[in-house]
Parts: sequence; structure tokens; C-alpha cells
Amino acid sequence: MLKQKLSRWLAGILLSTTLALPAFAQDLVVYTYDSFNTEWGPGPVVFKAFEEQCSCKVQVIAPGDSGSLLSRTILEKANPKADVLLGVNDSELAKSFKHDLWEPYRSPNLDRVPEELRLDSEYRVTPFDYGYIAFIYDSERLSSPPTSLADLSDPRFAGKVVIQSPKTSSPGLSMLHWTVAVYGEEGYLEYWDRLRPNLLTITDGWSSAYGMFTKGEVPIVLSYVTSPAYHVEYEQTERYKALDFPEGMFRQVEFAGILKGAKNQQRAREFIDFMLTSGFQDVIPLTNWMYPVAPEKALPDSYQAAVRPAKTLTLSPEEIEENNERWLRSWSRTMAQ
Amino acid sequence: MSQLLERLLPGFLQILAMLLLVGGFYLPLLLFLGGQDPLQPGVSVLRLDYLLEFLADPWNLRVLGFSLEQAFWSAVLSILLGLPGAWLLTRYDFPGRAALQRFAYLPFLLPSILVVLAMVLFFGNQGWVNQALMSLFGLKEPPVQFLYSLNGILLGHVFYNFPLAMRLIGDQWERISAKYSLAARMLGHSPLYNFLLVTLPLILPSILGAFTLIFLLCLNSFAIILVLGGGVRHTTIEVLIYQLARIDLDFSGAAVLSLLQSGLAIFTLLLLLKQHRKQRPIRQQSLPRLWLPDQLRLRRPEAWLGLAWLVAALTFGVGPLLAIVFDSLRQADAFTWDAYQVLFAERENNRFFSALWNSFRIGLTSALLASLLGAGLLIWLERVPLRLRAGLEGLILLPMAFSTVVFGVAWFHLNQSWLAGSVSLFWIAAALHAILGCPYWLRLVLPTWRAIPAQWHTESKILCIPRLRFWRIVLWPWLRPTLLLAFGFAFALSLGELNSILMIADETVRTLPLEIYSALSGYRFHQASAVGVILLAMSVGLFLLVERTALLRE
Repeated sequence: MLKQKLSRWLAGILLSTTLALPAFAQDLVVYTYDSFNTEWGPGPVVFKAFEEQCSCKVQVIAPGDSGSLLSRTILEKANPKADVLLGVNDSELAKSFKHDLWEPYRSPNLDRVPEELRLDSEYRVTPFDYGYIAFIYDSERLSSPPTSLADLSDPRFAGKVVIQSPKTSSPGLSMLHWTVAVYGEEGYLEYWDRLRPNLLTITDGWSSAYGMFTKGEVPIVLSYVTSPAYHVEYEQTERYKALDFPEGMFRQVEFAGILKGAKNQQRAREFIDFMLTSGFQDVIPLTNWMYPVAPEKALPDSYQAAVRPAKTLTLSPEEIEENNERWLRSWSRTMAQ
Repeated sequence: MSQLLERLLPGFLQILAMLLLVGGFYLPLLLFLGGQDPLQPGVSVLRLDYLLEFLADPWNLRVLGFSLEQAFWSAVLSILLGLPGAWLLTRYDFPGRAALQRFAYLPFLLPSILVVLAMVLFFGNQGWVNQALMSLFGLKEPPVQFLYSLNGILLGHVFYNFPLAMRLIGDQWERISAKYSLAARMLGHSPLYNFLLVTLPLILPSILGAFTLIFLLCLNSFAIILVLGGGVRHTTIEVLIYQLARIDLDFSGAAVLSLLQSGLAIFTLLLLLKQHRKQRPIRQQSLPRLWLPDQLRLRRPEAWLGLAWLVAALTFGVGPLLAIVFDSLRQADAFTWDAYQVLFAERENNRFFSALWNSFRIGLTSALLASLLGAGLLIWLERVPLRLRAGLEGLILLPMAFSTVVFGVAWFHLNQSWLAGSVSLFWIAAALHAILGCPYWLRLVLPTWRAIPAQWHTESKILCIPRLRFWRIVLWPWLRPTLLLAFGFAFALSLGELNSILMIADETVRTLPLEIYSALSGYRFHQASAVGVILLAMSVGLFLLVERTALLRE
């Protein structure tokens, strides 16, 4: 009798531990930037979809913006906690290469991605979305918006523009690179010198700038071509419009990769494969407000408000790594006059 | 039992404080600064050549100068605006006086990004003030540009800090004996003479204390300087440090600069602090407070001046906060509760409730810890020989002056190599906030503590009152208002703190400021304001509760 009871107890304990195990074991650890994993970001949807597909458990750690994400990963390089780092953009790529963070992997699904977005020939990182920085204007407060990057520096826009600092924000840095791509080493500082009186202020991050814009303080702000789509989707207004400049639009691509020394290499590969399928890609447009690299469904209707640039501009990661410090230094000094 | 307790408690608190301060701040910092650059093995973090190179560039020197200059003026202006408030609180009673006194710490609750947006909403070119002026005078263009220059920086900093100055100075002013001013009046001196030669020297310690706090706060300020200062025209060292640590990943450079910055700051402050230890007000029996409405009816000019200050200060101090409340209720030019409904709606991914709970428990724990830590440091300070005291005060102030970005990296480094996984993140967050909050706690409590009349101790000994009883019936009522304010302050700092939480970044310590950031980065600006309003309401509620329980105990 007692024996029977005891064995039932034992069976119960055994069963509960085996049941509890999958809930505790982390089969995949992903680092990503904070806004990717917020309630409204893609995180909750895509990680759940992957968990269902692999019937495994994903732990997501989202420490701050993409800059602090990268620095954290580099700091713990010797003993990485994460398997996958999701959310490094092209201007940070060279830095990550220099610190030798990645375990190369070429996903079979990479073939679905347009050739021009596969920026790493060694397959250390895989692109998952991209976008273009752009100036957005408020059509109710500005009847004749700037027609080009050059026109933006016209005195009629004095004090009407807000941008982010290239020293602290990723669209801000892309804006600096944009001017280098358009005007070259000889001309970019001159352009900034002309633009300066038009900038009401330069903010620390995207949020302060875009907040100042939607609260009516300025009619023009630096953001992304896809920003108007948000207002169409959630506020049913076409008031805010993106400007396509004839000089060309500067592209940002976001990447993910498997970290060297990752404990769950196999799962990490499965995740990279999953990243390029519909369960991830088709979630991106309405949550991360970027273009997916390999969509299976058509883009949402609200994306008609996002302009498709006629001409794309880029700088190579190597060029950025080599010159960035100097560009920033010269930029600060030009702007501080 | 109680004798044992009273003998052991101070020592225990002191050791606890030493352990927390050294283990939580100095150990990680020294390990990091003394070690090698984590990104460049073989190169030490502290490089003298880097410092010399930095100082050789006149542009950098200008940045350094401006950092100190703006902090200095911000502190001076905050005190100038706070001083009349302190006088008003000491001299008059009026409806809402208690609330004005209690909620001086409210601006500290909001993450700086929300304060920046509030200032833009209120003082911006299209803000409330300019809109009002435009409709009043029928103008087409905004008449005053308040922001986007040095003025904008000062405006932002004064908004944050003048209530603090008012509270700190008012606390001490109230304790000045009436007989000094009565004596001065009997000798036929004018009120101005009375203020300059009698009152001012007596409240000087609290003025210097307020100056110290505000100066350090403004030195580490970041978003306000960038956005309200009109961009890079006004760069400070903190912006350079941020760029080095976050964007260039040059930890060594960032460490060198933060040492330079905090070293300079502490040096400036110690020079100032040197004087105020000599002062000790003796007796306190202030004049009874006058009822302001009566005085106004009697047409007393100083009462009307007081009222004018009150109106101006309330507009300035409450206006931007109201702008946030208003913003949270507005969407597409219509009033709606939507933003709040979304927050409280039940749905699968709702993280608002867990953030609310995390903020609350981390805030409360860290405020209690900061109080214990502060009490321990106070005891330590009192036991240290007088000549070493200045040095110790400097050591206690350093956590406040040191750049949180670099401290974050140092701390992360320690966590990586030593702690990883052994301590729960909740306690780490609470301890970090307590360490960051306790210098403020100490600054708030010290002037009141030092103003305890020496003869009380003697008298209690003569009357053979046991020490614990002496504490309960004499010292506690004396210290209570200040201790509560300091508690509220530490709580507010923890609720609004973002950097160290970002560094730890885990669901278990995800707090409301992070929730605000998330909402902002997802275009949900009204929702961010709504979370800010809830943060304010929560702190007001909690503070009232703490005060009520403290009163019940009496």
C-alpha cells in the first residue's frame, strides 16, 4: 500500500519535472534593440511564431538602442550569452566585423533576398529589413515643401527643420552619410554650413525630433520614407508626407547574425532561416515600419503613402569605418560655429 | 535589548553604507579604470596621453568650459528663483502651501525626453505661451523664442531644479530664530539689512547645499542640453562622453573624460563646501506664519510681491506638467481617454501592468535602501575627524558627479566577470538606484541634521532620557519632514532613472520610463504622455501615503 503510494508520488515528481523542463530551458537566446521587442514592435509576434515552429523556447534580451546593443555584445564577446544578435545596421557593420563577432552562415533562404541587399559576401550577417531616411513634412502647415536636398538649405525654411544628431542617433548618422554620398568629401561641410540656419535644433534621438514634429513645433523632420504609412494605418490621415529627393535617397539595411561561440548553433541557424520566411518578413511592415527584404504577401495598403525612391545612395561599410570619426569631428566643429 | 540595539544600530548602519558604497560604486569603477580596455587587450583604460591630447585642443577646452558654465548658471538661477519661494513658505500660510512644499520633487519623476517634449509644448515657438501671446496681441509670428539657445538650456534646468532649491532653503529658513530678526528690527535696521546680514549668513549652508546638488545634476544633463540648447552649438562633455561610449565604443576615452569632468566638479564643490561647515544656527523658534489672504487684503506690498512670485512660479513649474496631462488626453485635435484605455486594456502583450509593478517595487526598495545608506553615511561623516570630512564628502558625492554612461559600462563589466547570475536583477537595480540616490538624500538631510541644537543632546543627558526615546520624541519630529522629503526624492529618482535599467535590460526590471521610451519609439506619443501622467500620480499617491502613516505613528 505504502509502496504503491510512494511510487505514485515518484511518478508524479518525475512527470512534473519533465513537464517543467521545456519551460525553463532556453533553446535560443536573442539580443535585439529595445524598440524591436516592445508591445507594438515585431518581437512579440515573430518570436512567438518561431517558438511554435521549432517547439522550443526563445529568450529575448533587449538592452537599449542598437548602439548599446552592439557595445554590450562586443563587451561579452569572450563568453557570449546570446546566440543571435538581431538589429545591426550597415553603418555599424564594419565595427562588428573588426571585433570578429560572427559565425558565418549562409541561409538557403538568402536566395529570396534581392542581390543588392546582400552586403556581406562572407555571410557573417543576413539582412532582414531595410528602409530609406527621408524628410517628412506636414502638408497642413507647409504648402511648398523643399524639392531637393539642395533646396532644403534654402533660407525660406529657416528654423523649420529638426534632425537628429549623427553623434547619438542612427538616422542622424545616416543623414551625415547621405550628405557625404551626395556632395562628396569636398562639399559636404559646405552643405551643412548652408543648412545650419534652417535647423531649429538637433535632437539626441529620433523620438524627440519626431515628437516635436507631430506636436507642431516644426513642419519638417528627418525620419523614414515609411513614416507616413503609420499615420495612414493608425490615424487615417495623409497629412504627413515623405519627400523623395532627386539627388537620391540614403538606404539603411538591418542585419542579424549568429554569434561566435553561441551555445545553440543549430537553433540559431533555424532562426536565421525562419527570419527570411513569411512568419517574420510579413510582420515587419506594420510593426517595425521598414521594408521586408523577402516579403511573401503584398505590402499593406497604407504603404502607398511611403514613397519608393527613384534613386538609391549608399556608402560601403568599410568606407564608413575608415572615415566616420573624422566626418563626425569635422561636422561638430562646422555646426558649433 | 533596546540598549544593545542602540549601541549596535549606528555601527551596523555605517558598515552597511560603507559596503554598499564601496562594493556598488568604487569597486566596479576601480576594477574597470585600473584594468585593460575590454576592446583592446593590452591597452590600459586610463591613458595619460589621451588626456593630454584632449586638453591640448582649444575646442575641447571650450566644451569643458561651457559644461561648467551652464551648470553654474543653472544652479544660480534656480536658487534665485527658489529663494523668494523659500521666503514665502517661511513667512506665510496660504491654501495649497503644504502641496507646494511637498511636491517639489515631481519634475524629477519624468524621464528627460518627456520633460523636453513638455517644455516644447509649453515654451516652444508654437507652444502654449507663444500661442497665448499671439492671440492676445494679434500677432502672426511667435513673439518670443524661449528655447533653442543657452536660454532654453537654463529654462529647462531651472524648471527641474528651482522647486528643489525652494524646499532646501525653506527648510532651513524656518528654523532661524525669531529673536535675531526681532533684535535687528529693534536696532532699527531695514528689512534688507536684516536679510543680508542676519538671515542670509544663517541660510547659507542650505544655499550651498542646493547649489551643489543642482550644479552636479546639470553637469550630467544630456537631452535638455542637446534639444533645448539648439543642437550642437552648445556641446558639453557629457555629450562627448556619450558619443565615445555609445557610438565610437571608445571606453577608454569616455572613462578619461568622465574622470576629468567629475574631478573638476568635485573640486569646484569642495571649495564651496569648505565654508559652510563652520556655521551652526543655534535656536529655532521662528515667527508665526501670517495668513497670506489677510495680508493681501491689508495691501501689504510684500504680500502682493509674494503672490506675484507664486503665480509666476506655478505657471512656470506646473505649466509644462499640465502640458503633458493635456497631451495625453488629445489625439488628432480631439479630447479622448484612448491613450489610457489602451494602457489598461486587457490583452496578451500588455506590459504596462508589469512595468507599473516593477517601477513601484524597485522605487520603494531603493528609497528605503537609500535612506538606510544615507543614515549610515551620515553616521560615518559624524565620526570622521573634522579634517578628513571634506574628503569623505567628496567621495560620497562622486557617484552623482560621475557620468552614468561610463558607470554603466564599468558596472556591466563587473557583473560580467564576477556576479553574473548570482544576484537577482531586481536587487541589482534597487541597489544601483540607492547608490545613485543617496548623495541627494544626504545633501537634503545634512543641513537639518547639523542644525540640531547642541544643547538638546546635553539636556537629554541631564534629564537621563534613554537615547532611543530621545530619538523618538525629540529628533524624529525634528527630522521627519526632511527625511520624508529625502525619501520621496530618492523614490522619484528611482522611478525616473533609465540608464542603469537600460544597461541591465531584462523583463523582470522593465520599468515605466522604459515603457515611455517604447511608446515613443513606436510613434505612440500620446500614450507616452499618459504613462508619464500615471508615473506622476503614482508618486503623489505613494508620498501622501507614507506621510500619512508617519503622522499616525506620532
